Amino acid sequence: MGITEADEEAVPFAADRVEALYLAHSASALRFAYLLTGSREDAEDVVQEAFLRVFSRFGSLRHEDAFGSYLRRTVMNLVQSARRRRRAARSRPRESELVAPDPSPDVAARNVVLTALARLPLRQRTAIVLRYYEDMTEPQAADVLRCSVAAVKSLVARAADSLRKDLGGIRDGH
Amino acid sequence: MDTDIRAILAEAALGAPAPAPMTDGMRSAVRRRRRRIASFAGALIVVAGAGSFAAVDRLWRPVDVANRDCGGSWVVTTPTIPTTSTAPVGVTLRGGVIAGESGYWIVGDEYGAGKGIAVVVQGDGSDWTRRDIPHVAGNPDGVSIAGSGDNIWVGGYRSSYDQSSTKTTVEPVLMQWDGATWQTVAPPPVPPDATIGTLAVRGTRIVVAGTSTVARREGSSWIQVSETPFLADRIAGGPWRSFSLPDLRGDYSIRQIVIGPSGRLILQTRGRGGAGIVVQEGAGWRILTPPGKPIAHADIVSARDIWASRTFVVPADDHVELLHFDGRIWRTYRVPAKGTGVVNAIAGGPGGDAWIVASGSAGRGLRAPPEDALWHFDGKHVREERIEFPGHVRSIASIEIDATGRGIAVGFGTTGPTTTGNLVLLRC
Repeated sequence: MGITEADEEAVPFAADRVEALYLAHSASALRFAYLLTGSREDAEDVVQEAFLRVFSRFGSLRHEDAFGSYLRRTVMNLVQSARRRRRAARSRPRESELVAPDPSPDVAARNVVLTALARLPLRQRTAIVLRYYEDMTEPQAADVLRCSVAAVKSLVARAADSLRKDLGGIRDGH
Repeated sequence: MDTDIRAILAEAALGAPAPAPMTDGMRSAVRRRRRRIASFAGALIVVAGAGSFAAVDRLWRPVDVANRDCGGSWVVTTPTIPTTSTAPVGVTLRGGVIAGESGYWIVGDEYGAGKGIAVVVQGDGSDWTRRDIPHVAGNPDGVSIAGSGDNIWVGGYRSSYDQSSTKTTVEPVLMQWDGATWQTVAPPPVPPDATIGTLAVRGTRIVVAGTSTVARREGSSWIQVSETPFLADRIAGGPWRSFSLPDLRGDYSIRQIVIGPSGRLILQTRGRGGAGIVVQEGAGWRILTPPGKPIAHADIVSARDIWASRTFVVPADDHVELLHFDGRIWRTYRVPAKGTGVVNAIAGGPGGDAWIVASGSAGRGLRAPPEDALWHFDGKHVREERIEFPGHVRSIASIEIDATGRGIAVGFGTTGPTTTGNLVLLRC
């Protein structure tokens, strides 16, 4: 584990390190969260909360490489929590809440993709984003998802199948 | 077959919101939560005072980048700053460039073997010498810098952690460069745990501002409930005088102090709602903050020459608004964003022009690496400046106008596909 809680030997996050890590990871975390939520506002909320949780819960960081993985895992958990809250509030989320309407015509295709992503179960969605957008290896994705490499392969394969069926006409050759 | 999914996801992610700088509200939230957790779990936590910078630290690996002529574009050099560490060293820019008769002064943090120390360097653009303030080994010290010529001052804080009591002690630091060494100067009488965040110097007068922490006892723990700003000055080594400050809504800190020709102060503040601008008026303060959406950054040249900016993230219409206050009204100018640009810094120049720095992407594709853009506003038109660099320059932390009226900025440059790179100095 790269991040340690209450580890008295590791160097604690100083305010400067907090800011540096925030700057280094905020853009990619926002894009990751946006692909999971389909909403700019939700992505901003989730990422802010994820940073707060990571910075406040953990005293130190031994291996900086682990920070990105841990942040993404926190983002994924927060997205899942938000979905559960929505489910509790009403029986089923409306699609329009998952994908914010965007009036500009050149992003219509983007909304189609986000809608297709929103139809995927969260773990499939996370897996395919980690593998094909974040360019993580299967072991790295497995670390974020807390599952086996085989499970990652399965999640990604099923997600890719669903996306290709949904988005059959969006690209040549599919 | 994977290529199609990658391309689809990359295009979809183009709609993601642009990153915003870390706000003081978020910093306070981190500190509050960490204190709560520290009191519960006894975790090792350093609670450092407020400091402002905007850059990412990276592995320090100098490479040679040749000087180029500056014909309307910005020349980028990679200064080699001597390091005291034998371990891989990362440099975090804190900003704070002074460009004056004694050359350029840059402040930042150097990290080696997981420990940080403040770095102050002086140079002429080619050769650089460390002018580090005395520090407590192993602890990051916050530093801001002000002055001109050889009259250079740094202010900040020094933090030390006591393992046995699990308590972090913070104390303000103020020092003056006498041309050869740093001289310690007693800071204004401020509460314990106060930090100096910024300062300004004009002649023999120095003005410092910072924050002190207000804490409340809850059971056996102290919980930080707010940060209270302070502002004080002294002239020619006389006694410190404290100023009462404007009652702005919510907690705020002071990010910039400008001493006007008549001696009145103009302050840039930073609170939960963004930046604000206030000017001394008699015994009180007048708020000059422009109406509408909160401004993200400002640069005060004088009470009649203030620049500000704010970013509008609108689908298919991301743009930056540049604002100028002439002492009477605010005027706004639209700047096309590069990628989803967020303004990092702004500098008002003589003659009614301004430079602004925004982060964005080099191209529209999501895979395009992050890259900063520099714009120059000549009073009528906004034009993007060329940055001559065989790579990508980003995280420009500070931009200033030097003694000759030309711009100088410090940032971070990468020359390869990796995220490692070097401190870079940009001049035009």
